[in-house]
Formats: sequence, structure tokens, C-alpha cells
Amino acid sequence: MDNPIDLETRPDCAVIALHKVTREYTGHAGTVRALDHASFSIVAGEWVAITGPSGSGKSTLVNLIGCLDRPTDGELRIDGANVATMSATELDSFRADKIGFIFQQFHLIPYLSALENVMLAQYFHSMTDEKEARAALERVGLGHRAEHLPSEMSGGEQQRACIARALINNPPILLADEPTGNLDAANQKIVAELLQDLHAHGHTIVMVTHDPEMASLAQRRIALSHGKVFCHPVGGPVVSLKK
Amino acid sequence: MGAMLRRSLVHRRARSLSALVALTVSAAVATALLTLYADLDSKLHHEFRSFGANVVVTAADTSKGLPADAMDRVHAAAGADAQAAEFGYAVATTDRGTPVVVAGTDFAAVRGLNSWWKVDAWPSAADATTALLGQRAAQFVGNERNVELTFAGHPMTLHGVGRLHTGGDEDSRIYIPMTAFMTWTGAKPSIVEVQVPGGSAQVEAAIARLQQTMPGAKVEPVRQLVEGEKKIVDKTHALMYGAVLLIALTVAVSVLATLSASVLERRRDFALMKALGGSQSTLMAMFLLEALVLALGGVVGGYVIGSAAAWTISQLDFHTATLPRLGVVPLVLLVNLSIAAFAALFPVRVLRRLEPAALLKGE
Amino acid sequence: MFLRLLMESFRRQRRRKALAGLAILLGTTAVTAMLALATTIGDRIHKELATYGANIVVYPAADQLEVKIGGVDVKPVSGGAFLHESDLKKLRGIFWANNITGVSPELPVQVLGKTGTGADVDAAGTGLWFDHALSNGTSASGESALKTGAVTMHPWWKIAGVWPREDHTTAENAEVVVGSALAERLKVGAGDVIQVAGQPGNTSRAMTLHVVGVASTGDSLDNGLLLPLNAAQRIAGTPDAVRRIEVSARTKPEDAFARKDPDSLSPKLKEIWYCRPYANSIAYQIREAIPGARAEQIRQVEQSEGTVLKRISGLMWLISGAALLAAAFAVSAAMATTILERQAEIGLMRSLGASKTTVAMLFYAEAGLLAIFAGGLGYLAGSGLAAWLGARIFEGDGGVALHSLLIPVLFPVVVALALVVAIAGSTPAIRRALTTDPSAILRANV
Repeated sequence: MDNPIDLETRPDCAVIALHKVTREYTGHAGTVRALDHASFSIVAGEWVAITGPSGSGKSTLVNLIGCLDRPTDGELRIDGANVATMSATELDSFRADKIGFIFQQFHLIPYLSALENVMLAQYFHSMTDEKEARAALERVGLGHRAEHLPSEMSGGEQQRACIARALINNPPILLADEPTGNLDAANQKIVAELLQDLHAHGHTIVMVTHDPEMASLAQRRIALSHGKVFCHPVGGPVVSLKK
Repeated sequence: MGAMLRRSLVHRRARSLSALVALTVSAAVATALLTLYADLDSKLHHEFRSFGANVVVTAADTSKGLPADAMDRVHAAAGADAQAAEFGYAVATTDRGTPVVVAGTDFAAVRGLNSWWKVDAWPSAADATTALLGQRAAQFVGNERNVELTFAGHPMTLHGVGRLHTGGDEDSRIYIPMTAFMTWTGAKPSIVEVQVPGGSAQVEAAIARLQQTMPGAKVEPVRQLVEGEKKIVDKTHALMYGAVLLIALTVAVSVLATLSASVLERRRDFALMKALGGSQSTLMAMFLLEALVLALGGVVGGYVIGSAAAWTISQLDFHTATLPRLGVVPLVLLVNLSIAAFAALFPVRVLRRLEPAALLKGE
Repeated sequence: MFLRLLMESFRRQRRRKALAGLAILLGTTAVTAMLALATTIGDRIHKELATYGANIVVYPAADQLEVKIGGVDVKPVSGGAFLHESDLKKLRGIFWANNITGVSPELPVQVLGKTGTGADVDAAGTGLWFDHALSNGTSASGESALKTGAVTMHPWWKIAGVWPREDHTTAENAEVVVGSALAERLKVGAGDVIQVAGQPGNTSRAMTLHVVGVASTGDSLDNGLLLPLNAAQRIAGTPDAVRRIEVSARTKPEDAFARKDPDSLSPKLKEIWYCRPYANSIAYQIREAIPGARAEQIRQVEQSEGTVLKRISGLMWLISGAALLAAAFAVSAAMATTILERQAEIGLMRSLGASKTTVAMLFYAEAGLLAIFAGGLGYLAGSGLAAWLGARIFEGDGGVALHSLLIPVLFPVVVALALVVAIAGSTPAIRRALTTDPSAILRANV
């Protein structure tokens, strides 16, 4: 269980490193430990699937890696920086810089076109660049849908727009939370291929999924149960991932 | 159904609370305005009392004067709330030889009737030889403290205690107690000025009664007062009516907005229940019942708050209390229930058009 | 992008914006209308209170004592002091000249003569202005035209026929109306003539009075004749003479300061006193303007009007306050609703790395824009509503044009109020949305 990674010796490779990360929630019914001394690391370029039953702490882990939340205890390094010690404002800009989110429900802003939704992420990150945003949409095969509103697009197209938005700021980490959970088989295939393509181009992907088929696409699987990391085979060296 | 309703209200506590607050505000506003509105006319008429008499009873034959029990008859006919003062007039001569109108009256009654009289010091009722000198008349007497007057050869010495300022004819007169006036001049009171409370209908009724009890006298309204009062009360009334409608509309829209949002928020529940086989009418009945329970709660709280607000406004402006009126409750209840019903049914109409399947998929 | 975001949100989410917009619109409409009515209610009620007649009376300081009982001169004064009609123009030159809404001079005169049927006439006549242009509003002096006279000052007077025209008065002829009681006694009506004999032994003249109407005034004037002032002066043989002047002025209700004797005040306080439209100040200014005059407030009218005015405008202000509260509540509720509906959006923006400040700014900007836009519209709608309500309720005061209700000062006030309320109303909802865990919102499937 307790398998610390030597962060000192491999600082560049571990884009995500958890060391005894604990997250507790205090509610009416007492304190719940959603994540219990979780330790593992993910190196740049890896595609990792996080699996586990409901209530195993997947969401908590996603929130922590996504910099939406901070650990109660332990050390969490994203791209070398310790998230646990950051202030809320630092965390906001850090998140914009490091994480690209892909949601199960897509979460596109309904009154903005696909292009504008992508540009919104640019805006919160730094500056908008319409050309770049259009290129990102073309990258996911949505160049012809740039001016459409989310309500005018299919689920698969919405998810691709969401992926384009996640990519736009070149974040070191793509965080996908059940990316195909709301999609039919055909669209799931398109999204899976897109993720594979991104992985082939060296993107680090952290993907939470229930779907064994999707999980099998990842190089490595981190299984959670009752807030504890179940199995976390350490990934190979970065070079070996770049086929 | 009852348990479901209770759960639903408790579960979404924040939303239920905000809807309850909205309905309480609407009930409070309705209560306050209706309470004030119901009381407005009598309050305004009360203010117009400061203009003094609105009915004048004059003896048909001034030399004979009014009957001795005139005041009692006036009080009996005009009602207990009416204020009245009798006057008798005679022309006397001052020590400087200037003719001056001397009026006999009851100072206590005049003081109550003519609040606009500005008097340095009112004569005491006990002393029959005190006098009130109009500010212009005072310039034509030698000694204000010791006013020597002559009427038809009868001299009379009066002690002026104060000056009277009105800006009207009263400034040129000398007012003395009625008993002294009658024994000195032998004349009787010839005019009774009456202030009948209420609107023109009440005044007209009082005039009719006065005419009946005193057939020999001329009873006339002070036209500009009665007409002016009616006009202004009517207009203020209309103004308030407009204001009440406007405010009620504003509050109704906001309540509608809050409630609709709370119903729309539950479109997933709606879709689910529909998917489980709930009929349109069952669901509508549920939403409706929920809204009506909230509306009822709002009326209870709103009535208390609104009555307090009406009381405060009335204290601030009219310096008299407006007591809570139970009579407004049915109307407030009706207003609140219809707002709630409309707010509950309006979004349901929108929901009906939505496909349950799409909603459940999480669109 | 910020602007684009704002614009798209307005352009593509009209229904949601409409709700909050409608609440703001209605709220500002109600508040504007109430405030516009409350600020003009003084003038309007004053106009209505004109029914009660003049509130200031002016007479010669060196006058003899009037011996009047029930409005009837028991011992008519012969001779005595007069004011000059020509001095009345000076009323337009005093500090509060524009607050003077009516001027009605009077000259009592005894009319002795015969009717066309030969009946003897011995009646009290009153010389009056009926519709007299006191000033024709020359643009150079900036004063407004004032046409005034006894008819406008006594709205309760009723006439069968027409009022006399003073420009029809010639050396031998004049128009006259007869009081209803006198008309009945003399059996004269419109079209009849009264031949005035002229008084022997003094300068009064013989004249032919043409009856043009029968007036009912509800007081002692019903027993007399009402004739143009210039005709009365001619009959009495006292040109330019006026016995008494009634003045109707828009005043500020009397307070403790108003009752102070101006001559006992320090120069500075006296100036303040002088520059407030109290009935006392205006009377003081009239005394200054017209030599030999004594001006006083008619306390029955002035004091009572003050009470009524205070109550009604107090009521209007309190109701305006209630409207403001109701509107504030309506707007906050609607704003909160629209924001809570968009929690998912806030959660998403947060996950995209937007700081709380950015998100808050965005929503505040939306609220602000909405407030300015809907508030501006509400201001217009409210002004229109106030004008309409005013016209409906206070009909016949055609003088109140729309521009007098489009009170420019109210615009910034109302829009600022709308802004403050919209922003304050949004704050709890924005705060709630921002403090809620964004991941929780994103998962909540809103």
C-alpha cells in the first residue's frame, strides 16, 4: 500500500504524483474519508484509467487531480507543483494552465457556439485566438460545426467540442470523467479513437471510466476501493510510451 | 400524497423557504395596502376636519335667533362625532367710536371646531367678562386689557386676554362668552357652525336631519369645503388604488418568477413521475397542492407583518393607529392562492411540452 | 471575449433574461411612477385645494374696521383706504412670483338703479377680475403668463350664462352677472339691463349694466352683483382703486421656522426664511412689493391645506417606500432565480480555470446591463404611467404636460436604484454558486 515514489529523483517524469493523499469530508453524519492515504504517480504521456465501484473515491480523486479540491492531508504534485499549499486563486489559474477537462455531460455553455465555447477556455487561460480555436475544432473533426450551438449538435459532436476545449490551452494533463458515459456505441468509437490519437501525440490522459472496453484502451489501470488505491502498477519510462 | 408533499417541501428546504418568503411578502403587501386602503377615506376625512365647519345653520330671522335648545338639536341630528359652535353677532361701538362686530360664542366649542385660529391665550370659561380680540379690531380699542364697548346705550367692560389671528373676517371682530353676550345685548345666537365628519353623503344626510329638527332655520353646506373635500378624497383614493395595483402586480410577478423557477427546477422529478406512469392531472395536482400549502403559510405570516406595516405607516403619517382588519383576510387569501396556483400551473404547461425521455437523459 | 460572452448570453437566452428583465422593468416602473407622482403631488393637490380659495389676503394697512356679519357688510364703508390696481403687476416681480397661481382683486360698490321693468335696485356690487391677464409672459423677464381672476380662484362658483368681459366695459356700458338670490328677487336674467343712476353728489357715473348671466356662489355674493373691476371703479368714481386682494400661492406647509418673525432673525436666517415659499414669506414679500399693503395668510385655508398636503404627500412617500421595498424584493428574487438556474455554467467556468472574481464580474456585469436597460425602460414606462394616472385622476389640469412628469433627476436615481438592487439581489446567489463545490454542481445534472 505504502509505496512512495521518489519525487526527488524523478521530478520531470511524474506529471502527477500523490503521496499519502487523504481527503475527508465532514457532514452531518460525521467525517467520511473519501480518499485514504493514496499514493501513486503518473508520468508524462501516460494514459491511465481510474476504475472502481461507486463510492470508491473516483470523483474525489478527479476533483483533486483537477485542482477543484485540495487534499486534507498528504502531498499532491501536479506538474511538479504542490497543490496542497496553493491558495484558492493560485489554484484557479493553475487549473486553467494544467488541466483540460472532458465531462460526461459535456457541459458546454448552451448560448455559446462550439467555437465560442472553445474560446471561453482560452479566455479564462490567457487570451482568445479564434484561429487557434478553429484549428482545435478541426483537430477533433468539427471544423464545419464551429458556429453551431450545443443544442444543434449530436452528443458525439458535443463531446468532441468538449475535447477541443480541453486541448486548446495545451494542458499537460487531460482529465476525462466518464467521457463516453452519455454516448451511443458509434459516438463512443469516435471519441475513443480521438483519445487514442491524442495519446499517440504524447498527451497525458487520466480517464475515469466504468466501461471495461474503454479502460482496456489505457496503458495502465488504477483501481480504487473504499478510498484506497488497490493496484497501481508503475508505468514504464516515458520513452517507451512514445511508439 | 400527504407524506410525499411533506417530504418534497422538507427535502428542498431552501427552495421551499424562498417560495414561502415570496408568498409571505405578497400576502404582507396585500394586507398592508388593503388595510390602509380600507381606512383611507375615514383618515382623510378626519384630516379635513381642520378646515372647520362644513355646514352652517342660520336662523331664518336673525333678530329672533335660534331656539334655545338649538345646540342640543344640532348635536342630536348631526351625530356624536360632529363638532358644533354657536355664534351670535351684534355691532357695538368701541371707546374710540369705531363700530365693531361683537360675537358671542362658546370658546371651548370654537377651539375644537376652528383649529386654524391662532390665539395667544384662550379666555377661561369661568370668567364671563373675558374677550378675544381680532388682531385688526384690537387696533381700534383704547386699552386691550380693559375694552369698553357700547351697544345700544349699554356699556360693557371686557378684559381682553388674547389676540386672534385668522386672516379672515374674524380679525375684525371681538369674541366674548355667549352668556355675557346675551345678557348684554339681549340677542340670541343666530348661527351654528357644524362640522359633520365624513364624506359628502354623510354631510347631505346630516343636512337633511338638521333641516327636519329645525324647520325654522336655514341649513346650508359650506360649498367649497364639501366639494373640495370630496374631490381631494376621491383623487387620493384613486391614486392609492393605482399604487396598490402597481405594487401588487410587481410583487405578483416576482412571486411568479420564484415559484416558477422552483417548479422548473424539478423538471426531472416531473419527467421521472411521468415515466413511472403518473398522469398529467395527478402531477398538476401535486404541484398545485404544494404551492397552495405554501400560499396558505404565506397568508398567516403576511397578515401579521402586513398589519404591522399598515399600523406603522398610519402612525407615521396620520398619527393614528390603523388596527388590523380581519375583513381583508379573504381577499389576501384569494390573491395569494391565485398567484400560487398560477405560478404552479404556468411552468407545468411548459413541462407538458417536454419529452420525459429527453429530460431523463440529462439534457 | 468578456463582451462576447455577455452579448451572447443576452442574445441567445432571451427567455431567462426576460424574467429578470421583467421584474426590473416592473419594479422600476412602479417606483418611477410612484416617485414621479409623489414629487408632483404637492402641485397637484395644491391645484385641487385651490377649490378652497385664496390662502393670502392683501388689504390696505390703513384700512377701517370691516363690519361684516356672515359676509354681509352691515355698515358699508364709504371712502376708506384703497390699494392701486396698477400695483398688482408688482406681484409678478417678487421672489416667489412663479408660486403665485391666482390673484383676485375686489372692490365693493353700492349699485343703485332700476331694472328694465322699473324695479328699484339697491344691491352690493363687487368689482372683480374675471379673466384678466396679469402678465402676458414676456420672454425677456422669464416669467410665465398669468391669466387669473375671481372665476379661477373660486372654482365652486356656478354660472348660468357667461362671465362678464372687462374689455367690453365702456364709459356707458358694462357687462354684469347677478347673484342667484338677487336675480330671483329682481326677476332679471341674461339679456336684461340694469340702469345705474349714479350717485348724486359724488363722482360716480351713470351706467348701463347688461346682465350676461346669473351666478351662484353659495355665499353672500348671491345677494349682489358681480361686475368687472373697471366698471365698479367707474361706478364708485374711484379709478385704479382696489379694496382687497385675494392671492392664491403655492406654499410650503408651515413649520416652526415659518412662524418666526423675520425681522427678529439674523440676516442670514432671514434670507433663508425669505427664500422659502412659506405663506408668511410670500405675504412678507407682497407687503414689500405693494406700498401701503398689509398681507396675511388666511389661516383657515393655509393651515388646513398644509395639513392635508402633508398627509397626502406623506402617504405618497410612504407608499413609494413600500413600492421600493416590493420592487427590491421582486428584483432580488428574480435575479437570484436566474443565477441559480445557471449554476452548472458557473461550475464549468470554474473548472476551466476562471477565478471567482472573473465569474462574479461576469454575472454582475450581466445584472448591471440588465438593470440599466430594463431600468431605463422602466423609467420611461413609469413616467408614462405617472402621466397617465395623473391625467386620469387629476383630470382637467391639462397644464401638466408629459415633460413635467419626465423628471430627469429621477432617471439616474431610478437606474442607480435598479443597479444597486440588481447587484445586491444577485450577490447571495452568486456567492452561493461560487462557494458550492464546482465539481458537485457539475455532477448534479442540473
